Amino acid sequence: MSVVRFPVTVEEAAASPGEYRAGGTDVMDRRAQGITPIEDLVDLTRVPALRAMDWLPAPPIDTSESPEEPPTEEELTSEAEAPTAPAFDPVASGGFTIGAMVTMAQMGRSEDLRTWYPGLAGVAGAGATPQIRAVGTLAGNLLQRPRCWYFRHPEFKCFKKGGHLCYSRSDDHSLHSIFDLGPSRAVHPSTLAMVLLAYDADVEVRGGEHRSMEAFLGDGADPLRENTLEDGALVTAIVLPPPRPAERWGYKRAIARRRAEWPLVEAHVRLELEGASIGRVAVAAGAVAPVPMRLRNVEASLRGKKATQANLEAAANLAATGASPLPGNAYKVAMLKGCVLEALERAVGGGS
Amino acid sequence: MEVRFTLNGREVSCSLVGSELLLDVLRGPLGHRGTKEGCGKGECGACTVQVDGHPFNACLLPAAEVEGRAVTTIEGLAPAPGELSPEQQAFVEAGGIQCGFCTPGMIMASKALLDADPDPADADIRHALVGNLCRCTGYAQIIESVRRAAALRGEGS
Ligand SMILES: Cc1cc2nc3c(=O)[nH]c(=O)nc-3n(C[C@H](O)[C@H](O)[C@H](O)COP(=O)(O)OP(=O)(O)OC[C@H]3O[C@@H](n4cnc5c(N)ncnc54)[C@H](O)[C@@H]3O)c2cc1C
Ligand code: SF4
Ligand code: FES
Ligand code: FES
Repeated sequence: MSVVRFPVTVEEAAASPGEYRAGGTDVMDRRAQGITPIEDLVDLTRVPALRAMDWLPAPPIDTSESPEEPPTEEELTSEAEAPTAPAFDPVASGGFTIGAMVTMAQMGRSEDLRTWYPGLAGVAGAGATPQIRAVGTLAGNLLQRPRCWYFRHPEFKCFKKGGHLCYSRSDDHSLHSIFDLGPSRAVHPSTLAMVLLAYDADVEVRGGEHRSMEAFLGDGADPLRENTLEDGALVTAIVLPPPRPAERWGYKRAIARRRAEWPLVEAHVRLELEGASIGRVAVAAGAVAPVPMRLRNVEASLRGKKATQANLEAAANLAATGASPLPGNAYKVAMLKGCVLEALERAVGGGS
Repeated sequence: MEVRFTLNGREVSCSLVGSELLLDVLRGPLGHRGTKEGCGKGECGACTVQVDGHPFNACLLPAAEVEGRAVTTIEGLAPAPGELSPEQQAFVEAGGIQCGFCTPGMIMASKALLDADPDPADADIRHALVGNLCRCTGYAQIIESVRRAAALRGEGS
């Protein structure tokens, strides 16, 4: 019989043997299907430290070059000009941190996120189903395992389960990757990983290490894992860089059902307009590769250009550069370009 | 391990050996069979209950999770024996029920919506019910039922 442990501190959680259970929406299903080898569960729902959401203090200003004169006696005792605390300015903060156990519903409801990171709040608050959002957590979303039906079936021992072949390559791969980055063609299932990749977020691992989203996700080459997190390591939070108020965003998913399903292809865009031209821009795509991808070539082709339809289309047409689809999923190439284009159009149009 | 929680307003307790699911505890030892099991993996919503007012899939929730919390199932809605809650009444009147298998989950998800938003637009109703599948009605009557429930709840208040 398996054991469920209920640690209440981060240290206890990290020291407990077993598979972490956050909202459980992925791990409980894998257990029911008999495809997870780990018996015991470490339930993270009673660790309050993993539920915090807050602004971070601005990094200290480097004063080494021009040391300030210490205040004189007179300045210290003078009654005039008692310094008042300046109003809090998120833009000047050190960024925003979201605890690993914050649920997708809480992210969707958070006033801070809705105001300052609307592209993240909007996607988190509308993904999956209300029932899943009520329990599904940020870290659980990033670390959920892929949906490949061979992986999810107990009878198929493929690369991802330590076996020596990939069933999808020669059989049904209609929902699989079009970028051949490693032995497994399963796509990364996490929408939030894709969005956070576009946000240049960091993943905080217990012990204090910050890993960029890109380093956290890795190159998709190892079929046994979908990220670079060490076995048993605990994600404690995600850290967003300070918000950019001028930023617009766009998200587009192609999906067989309207919602309540993992997408066939999805894309997320953040961009800033400088007059009629495109300034900063980040474009990420999901469900096309074993890891979400930043489309740097699309970004480069947009930077400094006018936000015209022709320029958006030319950039979106680069989205599938380097793709090598399988016979049954070539449709995703056009779909990827289409999703990127629509996400760009939405962002330029004002964001949604 | 013993889990204690409030089930439809009554204190209950149940002994657990490990990671038993709330769905199995409700339907088994606690004898509340109104909550249904469809897919068992969070996709169909037949098992929807409310925990502290929010809709949850009981098929994914270990019973140990609801320690000290308030769980409401379809059995907890009727104000008195032989009567129906406005949500139940609305589903009967508007034809939101055919075989009935999805109905407890549909009603629990609808109630959670109406508790948060007493007068939802159709788009909000569709959004709130994306996690609930129905193989019979084609959904139009279900949307109509939720609209009717909103009206009945409005009259009653
Ligand atoms: C109908 C349906 C539609 C869906 N559509 C989408 C979609 O479009 N996009 C999308 O992204 N997802 C989608 N999902 C998946 C859902 O969002 C995930 O299952 C959920 O976010 C996982 O979160 P959780 O907290 O339940 O994870 P859990 O199941 O608790 O955990 C998942 C994994 O993460 C590990 N883990 C959790 N927390 C930590 C931590 N702090 N440190 C280290 N490891 C940890 C666990 O050990 C486990 O391996 C859908 C699900 C359903 C049922
Ligand atoms: S795509 Fe990956 S998970 Fe699916 S069968 Fe191939 S190796 Fe396994
Ligand atoms: S039985 Fe729980 S969602 Fe289908
Ligand atoms: S009434 Fe039969 S499944 Fe909905």
